[in-house]
Amino acid sequence: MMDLILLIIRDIFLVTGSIAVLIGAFGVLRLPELFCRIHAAGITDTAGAGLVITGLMIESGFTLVSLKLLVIFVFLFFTSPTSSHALAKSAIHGNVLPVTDLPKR
Amino acid sequence: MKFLILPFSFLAVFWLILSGHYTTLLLVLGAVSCIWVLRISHRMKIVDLEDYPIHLVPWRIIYYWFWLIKEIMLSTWTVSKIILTPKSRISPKVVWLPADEMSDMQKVIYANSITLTPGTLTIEADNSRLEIHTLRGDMLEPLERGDMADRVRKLEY
Repeated sequence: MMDLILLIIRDIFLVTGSIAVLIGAFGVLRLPELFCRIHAAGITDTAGAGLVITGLMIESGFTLVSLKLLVIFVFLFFTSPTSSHALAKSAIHGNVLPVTDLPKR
Repeated sequence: MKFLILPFSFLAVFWLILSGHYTTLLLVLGAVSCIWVLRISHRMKIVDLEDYPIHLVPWRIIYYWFWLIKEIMLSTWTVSKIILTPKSRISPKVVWLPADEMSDMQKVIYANSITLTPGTLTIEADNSRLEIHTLRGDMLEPLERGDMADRVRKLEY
């Protein structure tokens, strides 16, 4: 019984995580300019990766694998904003400035 | 002295987690490489409070992480709705937010937390302010209330 509940929780995490990754990918294609697309990519980085890794941690239980996944989780939370900063910064340096008055569609 | 013990234990724990083989040979190799890395980083003089932020209050930073994960989930929901709604109105905005009375470490935590929450992105920083790009004006409200800034200010002793 306990196993079944764990399985269901794990599946919920994995499925919502995958959906978050899909939404992020869709947003990167759909949103207009570069800076808005970085926001969409952020969903993949944080919510998507976070939920999938949590699901995998439930899958592997209290083992060394779970610890390694936790390390990956923590590193992702430090590196993903850094890459977003780098992208935004290099865009501005390359004179791609954020558009603040988008035409109404 | 604390800059010897702390990095060493950190490196040792990291080795133990990643290795998973606990034979004498590999443990000795691990200890040797930890000491070697420590020696090199001390020669490069890069071991300081910035690498080992022991001046942060541990229980507060852990509580802060959980609070941040909650905030990330909430704004993920908002941004997902924006992405999935056809013809949704987005009106990107760029504003300067105050980040005064913060140490460098706290500013980094604050800027990274803002970037981690989908919908808001730090693109520039100076001594007392951060420049934030946002997907829609109303996503700035929680930041303008200064809730996150107050929490970050309390992180250090």
